[in-house]
Amino acid sequence: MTARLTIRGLTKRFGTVTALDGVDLTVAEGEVVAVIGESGSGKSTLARCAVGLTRPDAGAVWHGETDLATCGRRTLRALRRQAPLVFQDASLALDPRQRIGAAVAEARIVHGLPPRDDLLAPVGLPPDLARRYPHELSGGQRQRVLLARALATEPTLLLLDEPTASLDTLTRADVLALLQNLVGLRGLAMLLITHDLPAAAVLAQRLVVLEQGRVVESGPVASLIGRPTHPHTRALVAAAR
Amino acid sequence: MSLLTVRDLGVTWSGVPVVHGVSLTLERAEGLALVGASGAGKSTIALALAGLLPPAARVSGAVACDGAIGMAFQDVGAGLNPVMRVGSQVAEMVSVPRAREALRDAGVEDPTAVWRRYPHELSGGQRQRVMLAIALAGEPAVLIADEPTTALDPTLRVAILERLSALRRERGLALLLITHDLAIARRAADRIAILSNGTIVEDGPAADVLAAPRTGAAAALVAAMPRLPEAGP
Repeated sequence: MTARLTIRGLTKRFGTVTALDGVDLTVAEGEVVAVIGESGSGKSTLARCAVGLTRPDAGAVWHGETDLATCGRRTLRALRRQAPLVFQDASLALDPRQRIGAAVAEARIVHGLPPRDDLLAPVGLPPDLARRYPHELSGGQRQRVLLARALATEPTLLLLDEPTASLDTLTRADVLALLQNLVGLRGLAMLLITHDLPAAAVLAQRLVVLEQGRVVESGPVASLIGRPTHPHTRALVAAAR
Repeated sequence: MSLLTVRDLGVTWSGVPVVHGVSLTLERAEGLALVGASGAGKSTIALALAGLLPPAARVSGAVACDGAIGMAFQDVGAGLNPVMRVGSQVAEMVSVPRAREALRDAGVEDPTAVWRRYPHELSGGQRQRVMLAIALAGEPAVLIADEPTTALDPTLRVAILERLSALRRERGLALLLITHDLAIARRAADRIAILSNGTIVEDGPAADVLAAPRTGAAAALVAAMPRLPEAGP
């Protein structure tokens, strides 16, 4: 299978703290890979490096055949259209003074794409929601708006940073069902960054376990959950049982 | 007579009933999880039982408790004073030795190390334990823990829930756990009460509610419960 995203030897330090230490990871076309780890394991830094928002100290990130470190600004912009990052905190990621419709439409405008008026439909939101402001929506609806904005540019890879972290159980289940549908219907590749192991098990084909910036274990979901070998993976599986 | 008895509790905000007809009992060392979706009225009940609702809320019904009620709040960031050292916050209402003991009860391994720190210098798990220590400092008979593990990593979540279970076993503490997550309720409670639209729609032993929910609200929560698939061959 063709690699949609390839990360090799990715290293990032913040002062004396090594956030990422030689991380290797590949997401194939149409594949869902979940990066699992606890707070401070380097998950969000990995997501930011993967879309060029944070420059690594060492290592490389390729989107298909394009190396993020050497590509020009125009290419980087096109890559972000094809591989948007959906941020963790939906209430911070949306402009509180911008109506939902404008926030989603803006994603197409900045990439020079023609406008469309059905951008909320793929995430199951009614069209009349477009006139509302973020504070008028529930947490689950805001999360869907972020997904709608990411899908608006017709991507081939979605990077999701903790898409279920701030949701209650029922809303979490709704968002997971939506993501499963999107993967099934669109054949999207996905890099899911999460500490929610059950959510990762539902969505992903492969898991990558991150601890203090290092990949300690990776493999297919069934074998990694059924027979975890690293103590950290075993602890994560035990906590989720 | 039960340690905590609540009869026909009702809470009205601006004429709108948000909690109605809630009755429950809690025995010594028992763990009861009050489970419901966002907006079901869980935190309102917790605040009403602790007597912390603002005057604008009209509370009806009867609450009887044979001992003090301690409350660990959901939002640790808002629950701790950011400009006050941890030790001073825990010792605000009790003696210093009792405050140190409460920190140990809450699972803080080295109370001396955190005593002079400010909340922002602690990890999320440590802040949650400090919050728990404040609730335990007055040696309550009943602890109300409102979503005590929401913002925590899974392994920390398990550690806090195990600490709460240990306090029930060792001290006879009665626990009223407020959560939206049945997976958490299963780990920490003997009984589960399902709350929907401000009223308890189902109440029973945890295993029974999880295995055979009788109401739509309970069935939806059971279906949405985060769980790992069974291990493969």
